Amino acid sequence: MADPKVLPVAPAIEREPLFSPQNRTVLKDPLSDNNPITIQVLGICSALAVTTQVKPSLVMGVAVIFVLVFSNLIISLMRNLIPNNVRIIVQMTVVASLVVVVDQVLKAYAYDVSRQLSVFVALIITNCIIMGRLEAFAMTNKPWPSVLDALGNGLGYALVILAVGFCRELFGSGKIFGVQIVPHALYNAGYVDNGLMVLAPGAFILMGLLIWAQRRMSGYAEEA
Amino acid sequence: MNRSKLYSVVFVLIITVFWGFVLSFAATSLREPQQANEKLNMRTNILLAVGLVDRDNDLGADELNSIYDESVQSFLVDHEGKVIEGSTAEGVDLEEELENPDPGAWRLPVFVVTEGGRASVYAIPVFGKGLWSTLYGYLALSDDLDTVQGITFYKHGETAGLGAEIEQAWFQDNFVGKKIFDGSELRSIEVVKGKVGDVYSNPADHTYAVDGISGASMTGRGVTDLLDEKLNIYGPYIRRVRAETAQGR
Repeated sequence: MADPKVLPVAPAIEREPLFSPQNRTVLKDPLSDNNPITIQVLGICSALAVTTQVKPSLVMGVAVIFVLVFSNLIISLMRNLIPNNVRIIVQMTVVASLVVVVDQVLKAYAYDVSRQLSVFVALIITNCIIMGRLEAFAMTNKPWPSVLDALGNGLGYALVILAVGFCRELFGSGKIFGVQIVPHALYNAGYVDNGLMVLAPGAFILMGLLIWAQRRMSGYAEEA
Repeated sequence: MNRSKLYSVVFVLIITVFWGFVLSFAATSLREPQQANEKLNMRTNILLAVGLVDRDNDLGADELNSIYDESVQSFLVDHEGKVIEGSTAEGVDLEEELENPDPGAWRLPVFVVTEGGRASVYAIPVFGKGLWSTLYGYLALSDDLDTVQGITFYKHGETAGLGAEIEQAWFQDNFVGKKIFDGSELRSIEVVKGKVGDVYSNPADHTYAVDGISGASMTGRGVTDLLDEKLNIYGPYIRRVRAETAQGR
């Protein structure tokens, strides 16, 4: 597993502009050059589990962004109060509570979506990206950069699982968002959906290809 | 930052109590819409199973509730198949009933759609273990209590794209028109591994089997088992009604 790059700590300048170059890096870096999935190889378990179709991938991405932004914000606000020896417990409490609140709100006001995600909402608690960002960023940075960092990492995660979900649904079931894309004529001509794509090994292979392609583009190499 | 042990304890205590309050507030204030959603979901699935609404309907909650109130009646039967007079299945949960070790105390919900004073469709709740989770649904039988009118699954925790396909129209539509009785034997319906045509060469067997979901054989086996089990629990009632209609004809 890659050593997560520790991002530079924003210096305490009075009245730093909201989208200063530094803050923009914080937001943009995790989209590609320091992507939580393809570079840091975090959050793989959920990325494998929910990506059989585009729709659950999308909803999962949104849910993770929401939880990540708010937990990063809350932890960053409390960062000077949290005792070091129990910080993981405090982080866990905040993340778990937020996830339960999300789950409850979805059940009350977006019932269909909550049914679609079933157990995976609860599993956001164990998503390493969230704890990773709290430890690596929110504990040492101000609230606003922490929110940007969360947004960047959440979007980076969502982009990758959407890409994987897209390929898996297209090649595995010939559909996108549940709508048939591969024409019936092609099936009649002998085309068969790739059953491997809907299974976990298919996700592993796709993820591997994606990591390879992305690292190739960004020139990232693991230190030996 | 290193602080005293007491500080840590007090801090964690405050955090825990605070989030405890937030969570209990969220749970209690959202309970009403959640329960309304669950009830509506149950009713919608009964309507879907009996075929009163389409899967891609865009009816609102009020419309669905009024269709349900107008056309669906419910009652309870005991394990010998006798109807419990004056009973309604509203609020009775089959899963809770079956937890009772004494079958004599079971109250089994039955939902019926009546047409011209006669029951035209029957629906029973079904549930059972899939691969990861318990699957909940309704099975609707037409008035001969043999032909499947429809089936729905409305609650489960199976893998999206694999086991979760039991929620999809293509899977559920395969059940329509299948039979549960082979002569006088209650045979139930089997979800096969792969395609029915590849598994059973005799076309007569095709009446009692549906195509499986690739990558979700265990979920399919769960559906097979839960249908068999629940149909046998309702068996005495089903046989009784079948005998009565046979006499009446």
